[in-house]
Amino acid sequence: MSDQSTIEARTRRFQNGIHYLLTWGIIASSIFMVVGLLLELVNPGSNPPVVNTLDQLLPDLLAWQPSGFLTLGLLTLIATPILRVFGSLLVFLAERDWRYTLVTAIVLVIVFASILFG
Amino acid sequence: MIWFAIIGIVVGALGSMLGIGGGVLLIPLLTGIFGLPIKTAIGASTICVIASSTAASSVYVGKGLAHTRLAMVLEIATTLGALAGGITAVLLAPRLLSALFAVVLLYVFYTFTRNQNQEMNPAPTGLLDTTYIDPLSKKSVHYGVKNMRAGMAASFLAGNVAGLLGIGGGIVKVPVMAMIMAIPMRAAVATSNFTIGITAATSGIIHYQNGNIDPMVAVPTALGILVGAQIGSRLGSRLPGQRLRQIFRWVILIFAIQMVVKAVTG
Repeated sequence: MSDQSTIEARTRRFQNGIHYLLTWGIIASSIFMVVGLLLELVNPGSNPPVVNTLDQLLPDLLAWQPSGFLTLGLLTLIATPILRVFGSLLVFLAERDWRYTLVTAIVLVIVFASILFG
Repeated sequence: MIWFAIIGIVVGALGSMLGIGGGVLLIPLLTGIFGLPIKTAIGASTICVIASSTAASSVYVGKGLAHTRLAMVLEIATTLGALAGGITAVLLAPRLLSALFAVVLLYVFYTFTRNQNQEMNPAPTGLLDTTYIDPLSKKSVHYGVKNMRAGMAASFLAGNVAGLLGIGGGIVKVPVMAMIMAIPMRAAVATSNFTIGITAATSGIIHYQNGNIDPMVAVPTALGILVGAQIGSRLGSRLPGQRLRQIFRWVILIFAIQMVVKAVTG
C-alpha cells in the first residue's frame, strides 16, 4: 500500500511540474506577443512585421522592433510543448524509469527529425 | 486584427470544450472570410492549435485529468504521423485529402450515433491503470487502458491529418480513446489535448522554417484562442459527459459536410 501511495504522490508532483511549465510558457509567449502587437499599433512600420530568422531576432529585440517580439512569442509558444517533453525525459531518468525514458527519447528524436527535414 | 482575435476567442472556447485544437473551424474561417492563402491559414492554425492545446492541458493536468504516461506513449505515434504527414502533404492532391477526411468524420459521426447511450464502464485493466477525481461528481474514477494497438494506429492517423492540414487531430483520437480504449470521456479529452501540443509543435517548426507563419494573422488569433481556451476548458469540465458527446457529434457532422463540399468543388 505504501508503495502505491508513493507512486501516486510522485505522479501528482510530476503533473504539477508540467502544469507550471505549460502555464509559464503560455504567460511568457503571451507577454512577448502582446508587446509585439502594441509596438506595431503604437508605431506602425512602412511594412507589416514578418517572422524573423534566428540571426535577426536579437538585433530586432534590442531595437524594440515589433517583428522581434512577435517572433520571440511564436518561438516560445512552439518551444513550450517541446520543453515539456524534455522535462518529462529528465524526470523519468531521475526515477530510473528506463521504459518511459526510452519512450520520451523516441518522441524527442522524431521532433528533431522534423527540424532537419523541415 | 481585432477580428482575428474575436474569431480566436470563439474557436478557442469551442475547441478546448470538445478536445479538438479548433483548426478545422479556423482554416475555413480564415480562408473563407478573410480570403487568406491556404498556407497562411494552415500556418496560423498550427500556432493556434499549440496555444489552445497548451492552455487547456495546463488546466487539465493541474486537475489530474490527463493521463500523462499514456499520452507519452501515444505521442510516439502522433509525432511520427505529423512528420510523415508533413512530407506526404506535398505529394497528395488537396481534394483527395478533403475526401479522405470527410470519410473519417462520417465514420466517427456514425459510431457516436450508434453508441449514444452506451458508455464503456471504466475499469482497471492492468495496463497503465490510473485514477482521477471527476470534477462534476467529485468521485474517484479508477481505470486502465484497453486496445493499445488500435490507439497507436488512431494516433498515427490523427498526427498524420494534423501534419497534412494544420489541425489538432483530437477529432480522431477522442472517439477512439473513449469507445475502443475504454478511457472515460473526460480523461480522453484531457489526454488527447495533452498530446496535441507536441504534435503541432512538430509541424509548427516546419511552417516557421518555410515562411508560412504571418505574425499579424497568427499572433492576434492565437491570443484570442488563449482567452477562449481558458473559458472553454472551465466550462467543459462542468458540462456532463453525455452533453459533451452530443455537441461533439453534431460538430463532426458539420465538418464532414464541409469536407465533402471541399472535395467536390476543389
